[in-house]
Amino acid sequence: MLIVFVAPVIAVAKESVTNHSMQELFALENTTSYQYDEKRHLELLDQPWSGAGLLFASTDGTLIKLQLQPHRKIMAITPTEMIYFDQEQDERHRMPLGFIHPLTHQALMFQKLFLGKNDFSEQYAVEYSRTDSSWSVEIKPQKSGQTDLLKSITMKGSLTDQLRYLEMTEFNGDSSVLSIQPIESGQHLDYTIERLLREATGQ
Amino acid sequence: MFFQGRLAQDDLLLAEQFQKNQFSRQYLIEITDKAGSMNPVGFAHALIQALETMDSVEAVWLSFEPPFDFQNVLSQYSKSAQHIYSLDPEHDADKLFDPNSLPNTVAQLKKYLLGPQGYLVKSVVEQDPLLLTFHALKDWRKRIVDQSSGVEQQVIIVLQSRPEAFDYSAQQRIQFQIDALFNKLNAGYGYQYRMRITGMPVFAVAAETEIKSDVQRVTILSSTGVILVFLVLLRSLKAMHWTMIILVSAMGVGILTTTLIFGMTHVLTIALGATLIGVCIDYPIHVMMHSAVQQTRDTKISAVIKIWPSLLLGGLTTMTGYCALAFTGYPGFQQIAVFAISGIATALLLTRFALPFLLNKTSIRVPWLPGINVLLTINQSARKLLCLLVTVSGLISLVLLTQLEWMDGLDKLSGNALHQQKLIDVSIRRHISSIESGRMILIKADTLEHALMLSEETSSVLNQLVKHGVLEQFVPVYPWLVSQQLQNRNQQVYEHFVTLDYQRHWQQQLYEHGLSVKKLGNLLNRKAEILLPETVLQSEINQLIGPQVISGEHTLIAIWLGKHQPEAVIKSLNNIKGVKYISQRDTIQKLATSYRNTAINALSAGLLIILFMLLLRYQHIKPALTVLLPAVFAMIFIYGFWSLVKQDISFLHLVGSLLTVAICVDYGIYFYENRSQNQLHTYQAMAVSMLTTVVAFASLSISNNPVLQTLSVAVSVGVVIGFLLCPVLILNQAKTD
Repeated sequence: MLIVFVAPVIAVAKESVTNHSMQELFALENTTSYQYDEKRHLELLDQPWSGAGLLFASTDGTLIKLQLQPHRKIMAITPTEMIYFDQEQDERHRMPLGFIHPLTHQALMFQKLFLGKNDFSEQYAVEYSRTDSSWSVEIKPQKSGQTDLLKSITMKGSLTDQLRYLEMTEFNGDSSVLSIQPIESGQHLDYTIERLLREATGQ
Repeated sequence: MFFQGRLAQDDLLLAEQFQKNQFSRQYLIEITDKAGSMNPVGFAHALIQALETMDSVEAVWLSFEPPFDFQNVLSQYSKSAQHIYSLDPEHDADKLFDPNSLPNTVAQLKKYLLGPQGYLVKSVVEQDPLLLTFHALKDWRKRIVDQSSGVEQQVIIVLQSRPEAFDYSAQQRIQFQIDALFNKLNAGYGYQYRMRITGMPVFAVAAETEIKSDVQRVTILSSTGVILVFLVLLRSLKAMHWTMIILVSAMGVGILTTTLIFGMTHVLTIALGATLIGVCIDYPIHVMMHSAVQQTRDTKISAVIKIWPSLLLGGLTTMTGYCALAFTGYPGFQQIAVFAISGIATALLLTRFALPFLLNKTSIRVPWLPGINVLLTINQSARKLLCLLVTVSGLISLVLLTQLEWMDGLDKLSGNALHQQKLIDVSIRRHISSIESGRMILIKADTLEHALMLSEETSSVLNQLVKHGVLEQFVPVYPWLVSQQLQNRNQQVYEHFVTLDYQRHWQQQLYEHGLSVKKLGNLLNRKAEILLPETVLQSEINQLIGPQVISGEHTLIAIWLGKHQPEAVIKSLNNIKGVKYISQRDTIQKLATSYRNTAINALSAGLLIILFMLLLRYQHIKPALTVLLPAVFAMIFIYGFWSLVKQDISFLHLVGSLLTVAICVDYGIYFYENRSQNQLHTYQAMAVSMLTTVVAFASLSISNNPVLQTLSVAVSVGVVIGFLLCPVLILNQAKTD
């Protein structure tokens, strides 16, 4: 679920930076939508799993992953909670971000990252690298604990196009790769976000 | 505790043990957003971090978050999944191991692995491909989910303190610290949140604070009142000085004797014992009144010797009254009885053997009591008419007694502060659990294995009750603790159903759904670990189930109950030996009735003993009954009045009337014997005694504790009535002689 929430972050990263503050790297200027393709490598699956859909990110910290393939699913982080809605199974979950839980822990990390806050750097080591045509940022927890699921998060981008890659490796050996392409940005997307949140919460 | 005591019933003792085990050191801290717009979970976590820094805090967590590493625990239990998956494996097997449901099971497994909780499922599935662990945990999970609902409005923090609940100063300090930390943090949030707090330590501190404040106020008022009455009436500082020495000695001996016998003296004993001032002061007052009219040392001493038999008899009847208290069944009253009897004996002896010598050079004036002569004259001149009036009123009161209503339970005996706290407690607990406090099923067995077997049998029965809607929910120790017997049954059923054919079918489904046959396909040769309950009880799971298990000479297991129909639960458990349904509330209710009946018996026995003593003294029934009459009528009037105003009668009203009788009988004796041969003089002495007694008891009415208020009204009013009735109902000795 978390995998998606990193997507907007990488998509808005500025190409020219090498070793700057998080604020500089990831500050989002307007509500933005993206198209994504996802590939998950699970140890217990013989074949990688594939999915696709849309991502939405707004400046208040709301992040939404609308999975359209193989079936409709909404996963969201709002400033106060995490929401999960699986249309096919008619299954809904909500979890306040204040819960001590690996999922909320990671969600908060991504939210801080996304909002350009630096205060998570005490818990995570951040490494930046750049070549003439590409850049990458790797984030790793300083020490592994029960609240961390991800062993590493790597964001990669090209200096020549807008396609971004997000690779996440879990401590249990599973990993995921998302390729992300921005579609549009503007305040009109806030209505879409609101509608998706209503759908996810069943209101 | 002072009134309920250590309830002398085994079941309740055991139930109390569990209650203490679980609740005694726990605080429940409710955090609510005042505006209802912000989820308080984030604030609660910040507060938890602050609370964790307190030295006196053992652990602190959110009520709906298990206080252990859930993923780790799940992973551990998955290793024993084949042994613990069902409470009733024979019944569940058809559904659990139905080969036709395998396509669906595998599809679900894949969905879980790809879902938000995939990491949790993965930590289980490699040990337990069929996810039997989740089947074992399904009821527990449902309860956790239920508890976390409503967190948008309020959250509850559970704080486990290190000091004992009744360590007043330590718990008071903790409560101050919690308040301070909350306020400091809340200031940073613009005072957006509200905090309410409950738990046994909160009750303990509130009760002790209330009692301490009561004792202080009552003692000050009672002493000041008595001193003022004394000074206004007798106008002698020296006489008051001697009297105070006698009273302080009486109190001192009372405390010493009580502490020697019981190991401690409860503050409430001292509070109630303060009324002794009003009783014991009678003796020196009588001596002073009678020596006031004597001039020489010898005549003063002979006056004291003359009235001594009346004082002694009066003292003995009062002691009889207090002695009867000891047999009411309330442990606190045994203390009061010892306190009072030793105090009265000390006051009597000092009055007889020390006071006359102390008064040698003290001039005492006749008390200033305007109107007492007129009162006596009217009473005696219109005696017949007044007798008729008293008899008619007495008859009316007796008729009213048929409407007397008894108070049920002991709840109404707590003070205002505790009553308010109880309301807060109910309101907070309603959010976190529908478990009924004080009602449980108790299992007692010689070994842990046997207790677990009984617990599992009981849980199966309770499951049926849940299905039939007579029980909302219950909290068993399964699946955290499972008997070896049930583990064997689970394994046998597993081996019976999970065959080579079943495994082949399973592998086929894994393959079709793209799941790893290599990693998940083996169902037959898995090495499942036996779950060892003793090991579990020493692990982090003990924080969850420890409060439900007590090991010792016997093993005790408690099963908490949600809303239920007691009769149905009791009936369903009739055939399981070693299993009992316990309702503390109902038992305490029964106990209240039993205490009341004992109090009635004590009152009757007290009256009979007093009558017997009077008979011994007067050797004739008529004077004995005559002396008793004012006390009896005083009691009848009071009860008639209570019937009229629909006052519920508790054992305390009975106790109050017992004290009234004991004191009023003294007046009867003094008035009847009239040893000074001066009716007015005797009545004056009685009036001073009565006024000091009334002041002492009336001062109890400023207490916040209804126990003391009830005693105050019962005794004060009774004593005044008894005093007024003496000249009406008793033809004194002097006259008859």
